[in-house]
Amino acid sequence: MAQENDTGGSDAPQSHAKPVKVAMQQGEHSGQPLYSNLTSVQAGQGVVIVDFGFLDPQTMNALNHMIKSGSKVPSTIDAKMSCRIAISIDAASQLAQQLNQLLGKKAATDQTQTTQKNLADHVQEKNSSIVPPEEKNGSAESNQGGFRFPWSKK
Amino acid sequence: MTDNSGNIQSGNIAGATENQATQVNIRMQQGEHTGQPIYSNFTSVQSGQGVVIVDFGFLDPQTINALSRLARSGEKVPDTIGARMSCRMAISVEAASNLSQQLNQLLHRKAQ
Repeated sequence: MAQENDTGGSDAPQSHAKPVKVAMQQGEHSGQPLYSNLTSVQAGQGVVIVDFGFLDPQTMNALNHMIKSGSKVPSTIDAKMSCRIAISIDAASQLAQQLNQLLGKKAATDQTQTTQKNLADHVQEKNSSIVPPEEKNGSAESNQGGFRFPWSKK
Repeated sequence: MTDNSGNIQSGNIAGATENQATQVNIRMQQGEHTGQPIYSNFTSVQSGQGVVIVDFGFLDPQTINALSRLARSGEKVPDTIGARMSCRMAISVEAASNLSQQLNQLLHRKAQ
């Protein structure tokens, strides 16, 4: 299965940006996504090592509970590493930009939805005959992945 | 950080009660396929239901160079190029936020 991504890269020598689509063919281990709720980043020689780990949610809850109740928290807990990726510095920079963009948008969408919901609740309180607007699905995010070629302008 | 055995990775997590932050070290035990890192020079990010999907891909450097030459010489660049997906991760939104912060911090340090 191939997945097409709009690269968002620009290839023109001057200020014209021309996106190039990248058809990503799935590899051996990429058919099913690996889940991770923990990350660690470290610098390597010309690469950035990104470790994706999994921390049992029960451990996380127990830890939160301990912290809240003020009891002694273990100094070290165990997690399982899901995947270790070595990415080029350019790719790391792109990934940071993509995440900032996505999370910025996500936060903005969440805030808008909360405001809309609060407004709807307020209106409903004021006048119960008014039907509140339908909740929108906030996950309608398009693929914002952007690969920037070395010659593209940032 | 890697310990003497070289197969345990430790990070830390911060839990907060009101104004106090508690730091806990995390030992990351390597799994089946994590012994050797997977190399990637291309990423793609998209949002899912409560998760962020991060695709790590590999784009042949020769293809990048060829495209670069084509673009510089003003020739027609292909609309689509092929890449190989190295790994697909589904990470929680919190983990994505942490990853973003960690990358920003690291790249900022590297730039200085």
